[in-house]
Amino acid sequence: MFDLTKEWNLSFAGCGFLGIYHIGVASCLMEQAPYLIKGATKIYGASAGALTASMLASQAPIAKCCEDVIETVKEARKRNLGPLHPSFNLVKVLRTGLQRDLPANAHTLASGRLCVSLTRVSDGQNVIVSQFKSKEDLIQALICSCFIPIYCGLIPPSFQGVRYVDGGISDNLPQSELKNTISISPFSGESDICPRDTSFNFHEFRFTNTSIQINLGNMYRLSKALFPPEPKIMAEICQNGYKDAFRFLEENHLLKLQYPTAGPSPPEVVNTCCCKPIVMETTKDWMLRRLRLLREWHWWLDEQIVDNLPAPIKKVFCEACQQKPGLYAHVSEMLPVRVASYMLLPCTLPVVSAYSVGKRFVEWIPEVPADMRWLAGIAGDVAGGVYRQTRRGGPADKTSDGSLRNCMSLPPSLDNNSLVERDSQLSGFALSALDLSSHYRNIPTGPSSQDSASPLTLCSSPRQICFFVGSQEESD
Amino acid sequence: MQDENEPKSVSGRRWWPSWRPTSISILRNTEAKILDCVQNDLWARFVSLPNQDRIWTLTVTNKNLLKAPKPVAQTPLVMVHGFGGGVGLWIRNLDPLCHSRPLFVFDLLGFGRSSRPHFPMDPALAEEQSVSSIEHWRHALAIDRMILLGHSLGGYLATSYAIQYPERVSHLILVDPWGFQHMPLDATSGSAKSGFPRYIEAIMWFFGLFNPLAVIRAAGPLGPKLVNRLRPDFNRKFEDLFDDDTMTQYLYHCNAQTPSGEVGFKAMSESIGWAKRPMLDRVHLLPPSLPVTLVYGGRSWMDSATGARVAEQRPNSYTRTVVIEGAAHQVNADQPEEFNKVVQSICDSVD
Repeated sequence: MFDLTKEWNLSFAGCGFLGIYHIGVASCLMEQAPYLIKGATKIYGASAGALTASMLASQAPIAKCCEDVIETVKEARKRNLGPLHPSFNLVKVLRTGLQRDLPANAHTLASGRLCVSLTRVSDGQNVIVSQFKSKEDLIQALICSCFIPIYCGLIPPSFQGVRYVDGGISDNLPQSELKNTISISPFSGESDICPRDTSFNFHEFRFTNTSIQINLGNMYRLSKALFPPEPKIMAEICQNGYKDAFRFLEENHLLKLQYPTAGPSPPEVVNTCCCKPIVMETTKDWMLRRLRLLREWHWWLDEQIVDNLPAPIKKVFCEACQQKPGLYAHVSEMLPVRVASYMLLPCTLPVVSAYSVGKRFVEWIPEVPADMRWLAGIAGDVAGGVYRQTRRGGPADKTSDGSLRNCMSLPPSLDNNSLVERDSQLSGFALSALDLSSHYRNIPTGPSSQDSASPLTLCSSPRQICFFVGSQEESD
Repeated sequence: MQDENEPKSVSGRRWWPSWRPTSISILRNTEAKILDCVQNDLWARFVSLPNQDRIWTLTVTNKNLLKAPKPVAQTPLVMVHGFGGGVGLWIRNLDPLCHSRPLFVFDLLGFGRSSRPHFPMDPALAEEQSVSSIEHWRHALAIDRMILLGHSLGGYLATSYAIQYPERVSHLILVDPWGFQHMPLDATSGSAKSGFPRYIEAIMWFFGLFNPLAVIRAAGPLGPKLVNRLRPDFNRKFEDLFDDDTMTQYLYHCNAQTPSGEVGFKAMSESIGWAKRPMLDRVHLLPPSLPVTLVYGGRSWMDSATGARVAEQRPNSYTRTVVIEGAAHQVNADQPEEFNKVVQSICDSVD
């Protein structure tokens, strides 16, 4: 039984394009039990879950976010190779979407409440950040959390001077083991809000904390996580999220219905549906409809698929499924045309690749110095490590225990100066070496004005804190 | 105290190194590490069955009971573990549940340290082999009547046993039992109406050719790490007892041996997770006088509504469903206090 008298948290699992499921869950929570979101102490999220978490924490309009997700999916599906096509730049699409739709004061609303799970590149450890200096800062953290290496790019982005990649790699469902955390995952398993497949299979595995049952439904979902399905199926996933959340609220008696009528959707929603009047149909549409074997007039989206969703989201899906701009789209969807385009791929791909690589390079130019410094730092570290290993015969293990050793890519027996030096290399040009070492010293003495600048001080897991205390001792 | 007469290895040692870093003796040591936590009198031994199979059995008795013996011998509690498990998974229940009565736990035939015979591929025969091994085991231990508790696959077998030998069971407790529901006709199109892409079905079909846990054995030296990676929750469930990966080690060594019980399970199940001979068809064969309690985990994907369907099949008889909130499929390990309390109250109701 979920206990409302104590404080509670929400935790959204990372799931790639299945993030639309989280939108469905969030819309249900906002509609049926808004106090659950408002009263939540912390909202955790990894990868796509972090995006939804940020939206909830910063009170961004949910329909807008849904639109963004659909737009991203459409962008990803536009080309032959889907999201693997070189001209699809997920990071850029995400950044534009977040910049557009997060409110200007998102960082103040999110700071302290939103906890984004990140994986630090230098040692592969999980870091949870929850302080953001500006909206840009917040967006950068979210992008770090969504950055799947190789799939999204080669050079990991940095947040407050430290390089991070997808939080799902180290902890996909942060804090889910706490009893008072409502865990939300689009994969059926042992999360609080998750799809219930009618399978009685007890084979299960954990993907960095997320429980995933082994069954056909989940295999299907996994295959869709990085290669998004068409909007219709997205709508279905979204609605499943809504239903599962509703069931969770029902089972735990968390529903505080404003409406006297029970049921997932208040009655007035039905009338405000999206559909444009039938008279808008042009002859061309009509022809196409005839060609598609006379489906009903709302053929682009089965009403039942979005039946339960709140009206604004319903509208988004309706529009998304409806958009088939002109004859070109239809022609390009025909089988022979598609086959031809696949066969031409070996010819067109190099050209397109070259173009998009060039474009990306131009976009990369402002970040070149920082990235180069980082790469040089890594190279220096590796070389230095090899040198020390050969000279001293592996001093790294002398002073630290196992967990510490994992956290540090640098042998701790170094003197203070070289540690600071290397940290400044890691952190790029954002912080001076002096600043950074002062952050380290500030950690155990509680909050200070400097704390908000450092992501490292804000880790909530005791293991992380233990690491920083340790490193501080050693640097002194 | 352990009384072991380890079977002499028939095949002998091979000269080449093993691909899988496991052996009977490693399993024994890992299990011993787990059983060290038991506070009460523990008697562990192999029970030989007429067909030469050996069942690894633990008897736990309250050490205070010997000093002040109770006048009536009470019905013992027998617990049957689930798929891929072993006696070690009951570690958090052995002590609390042995207070009032003797407690027996054993490794199912083909799992854990018990013999690993060949299982027939016919679902009815495979089931019969497991069930008759339980009956022979009971006979060898001269238990007259027992409170039978089964978890997951053990719940399926316990039900099957109770149907065949109802006079031996005082109360049937089914914890998140497997294999009750029918496979729905459209199970292959679970979430999406449009059906699954062919390649996913092809992948599933391919994996269906192998035993369920073949991946762990095929991983060879990486196996223990793989189990640790895939099921870290087992370490977390028992973290107050062991601060290392003892539990996943135990699971690995239980399942990295030659597959046997797995083959039996594969014979009994179809399309990953459904029983070929679902229990809901047969629960009405349980005598109406036999009380049945179904215990479900609140967070488990096993649908507790099955309990109501079992009750429907058994009119005019005692069928109760208990849901333990906050527990996942491993109910006995997730919420041990609550679980023990429920089981204890059932036992008290028997005698």
